[in-house]
Amino acid sequence: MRVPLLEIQGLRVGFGRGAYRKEVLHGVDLRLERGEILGIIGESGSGKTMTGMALLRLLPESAQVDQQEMLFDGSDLPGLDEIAFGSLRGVRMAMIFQDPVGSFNPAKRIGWHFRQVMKRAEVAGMKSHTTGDYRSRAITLMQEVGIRRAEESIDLYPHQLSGGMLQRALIALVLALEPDLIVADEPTTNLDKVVEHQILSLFKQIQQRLNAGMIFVTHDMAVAASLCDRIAVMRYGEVLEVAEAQKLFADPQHDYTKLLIATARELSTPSGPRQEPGKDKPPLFEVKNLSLVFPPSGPRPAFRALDDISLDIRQGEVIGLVGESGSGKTTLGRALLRLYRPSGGTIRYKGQDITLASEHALRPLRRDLQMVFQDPGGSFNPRKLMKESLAEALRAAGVRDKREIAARSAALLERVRLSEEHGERFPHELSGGQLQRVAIARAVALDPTLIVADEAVSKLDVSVRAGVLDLFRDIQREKQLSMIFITHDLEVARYMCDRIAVLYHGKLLELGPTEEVFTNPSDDYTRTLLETLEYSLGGRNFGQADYGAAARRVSHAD
Amino acid sequence: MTSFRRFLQHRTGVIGLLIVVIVALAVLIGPALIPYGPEDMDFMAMLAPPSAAHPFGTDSFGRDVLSRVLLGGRVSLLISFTAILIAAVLGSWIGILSGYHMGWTDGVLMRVMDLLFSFPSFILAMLLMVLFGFSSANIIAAIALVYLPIFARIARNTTLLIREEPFIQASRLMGRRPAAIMLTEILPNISAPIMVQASVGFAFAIILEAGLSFIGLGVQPPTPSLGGIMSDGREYFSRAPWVLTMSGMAISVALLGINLLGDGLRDLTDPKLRERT
Repeated sequence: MRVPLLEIQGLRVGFGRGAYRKEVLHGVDLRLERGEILGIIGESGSGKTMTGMALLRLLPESAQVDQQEMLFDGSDLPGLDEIAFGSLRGVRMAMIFQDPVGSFNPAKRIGWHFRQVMKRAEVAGMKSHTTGDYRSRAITLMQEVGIRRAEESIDLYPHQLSGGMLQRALIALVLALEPDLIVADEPTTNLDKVVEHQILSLFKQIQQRLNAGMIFVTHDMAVAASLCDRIAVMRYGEVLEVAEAQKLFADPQHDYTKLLIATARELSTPSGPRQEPGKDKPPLFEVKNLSLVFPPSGPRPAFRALDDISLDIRQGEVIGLVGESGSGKTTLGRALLRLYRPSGGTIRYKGQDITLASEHALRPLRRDLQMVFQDPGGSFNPRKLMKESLAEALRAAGVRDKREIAARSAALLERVRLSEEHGERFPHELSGGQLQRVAIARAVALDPTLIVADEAVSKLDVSVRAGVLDLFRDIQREKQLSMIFITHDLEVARYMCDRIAVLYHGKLLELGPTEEVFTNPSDDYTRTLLETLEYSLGGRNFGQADYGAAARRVSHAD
Repeated sequence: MTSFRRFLQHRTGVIGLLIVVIVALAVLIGPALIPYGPEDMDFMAMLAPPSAAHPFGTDSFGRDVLSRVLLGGRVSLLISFTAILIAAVLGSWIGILSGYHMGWTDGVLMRVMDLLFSFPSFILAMLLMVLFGFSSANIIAAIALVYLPIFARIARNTTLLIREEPFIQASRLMGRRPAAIMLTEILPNISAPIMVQASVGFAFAIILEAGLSFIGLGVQPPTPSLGGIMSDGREYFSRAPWVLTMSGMAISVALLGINLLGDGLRDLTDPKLRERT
């Protein structure tokens, strides 16, 4: 029998000692063949990242790692001392992190990183290429991964490259090592769908060329389905099931896997009939030719974040703002709430011009316009109980009587399907989904006319995402609120929104009813965006994303 | 685990806390337990070495040094503590105002703080004392003014870090007044670094007060203060070293306790160190 590239059995990781000891991995078994991609999917806290970190000995010293067996290419990993292990890690075993920015030394040019890695590979004596010309080899590698103008990019500093380009550079670095094992931890989570597709294509291509084994940690089932050969589902530090990618989604065995797939499928169909608010009533918001320029600061030139945007927001409708990061969707949402001061154009709220209204003049209007933020953890004062935060909002809404405040905050918690007991907790004692529910309750407490939800579900786990979205939708219908739903996730937009606005580089490309935008987009960019949707769990081509073919297309383009 | 329970696990911090408590009790209750008043002179025992009757010896007027050190310690600690309290409260407000409003408010306030900062602290305190006279209130005001910019800087920087946090923005969107946001949302979340700085500043304030009194620009005789006692002891150092030594050691013990306590507080509030425990 052939020796597998990697064999892990009974991997346990714990933190703390004695009564405080908390085990986070309870005996994980994994095996990986050469040339195979093993996906690990799971929600936050499932231990999927911990597994990769334990394998590469990247956990803090306070962690206690214990295993029955951990074999890499037949050699016993736990038996190796730090020096012997060091010559494997970063040479034969490589890791790619979620955040490419943090993986580079910000004070050094891109080329420096290549030189370090190549020297290391040579010192370890693993590689055949010994030509000393690091630079030209680095440039070749960078061209291979589709970095534009590699000859110039090599002399740039990391912050001068975009996230996508930096992730490509990181992949090129890994390519320079020619490792046998690649551990990739959510390597494309921070990237836009279009870029993600290109990067994943590269991954596949490189992995096949090196015939390397790859562990691909992700929470995105669509990505896992297309990219991976086998998939392991993890929850609470245990592997629930491992199966061939096709088989896992066609015939899931474990209840949890079924639940994950079902909730993700649910998002593929609209949550209910679209609202068609009367066009005869005057709109709540009228935005005309809005532009916003961030002034230059230091070496950074002025940045035009919003460019000539006009749209109406009618009462009781949900408008989705979609677009890649940097497209200006968050800026637009904040400008509407006048958290930013526009540079041009007009914003009218209920007929009143608030474009340049002073903070003082805005104060009476503030309560009408609420926001739910992306980061559930930061949305609440960490030193206040949840009920105190709610009471604050109720007081701001003019409720003075203490008993009424208590009664109403209890009712609000119940409305968002939490109990009074949750009000007695601090923010860090609630999960992300629960926090986001309280955030909705807080916004509703002020009886607003408009809620801007800025990526409000993108940091939540899949299994709670649908619940929070439904809550948004229910409350929106119940109160006939208008909502601006900012998201990069097209499925979420389709699920939630009555109208969709597509933004690109601060410009409004198109605005129309959801069905129309999704079936018959008028702009090329929208069409590219929508193509990525075909590979989602409910899409026609789920699991079929041909990363191989796309990769060739990318390298031709450059 | 509550913050206090976690603090109890910090050994040096707990030792510091114990020293500070003992010193505080000594200067508050101690003088009442000693049979001699700080100004009672005993001409039969001038410059007497430490003995059972006078554990710290006596000075040139036959006054009990222990009694004077305890009472002087009370005066010095009270002055320094009040001064730091004022500096911390005022400085925090200035810093929060600067950090929250930014723009010209920030510019004006911070340039004033820079101006204060640009003088060596001792020279500035001396200047203020000479200009405004030697009352206790003026000593407190001078020390507070010297340390004001440090607190303002820290408060401003931490405010800048959290002012874009969603919960602050949520408060703005509730239409709450800026003053209310600063008081209930920002202040509780920046209080930890301020407290740590206050404990460090307290130690520096004691040194500054002692220094001023030592050169005669601080607390005026006959009111005892640690700096004043040291100054008296200097003249007779070769004949009666205990006057200077004992009062100097009193300052050292107080500073040691405060600094250890400050270390404990700093480790407690530093999230990076927290993870290790």
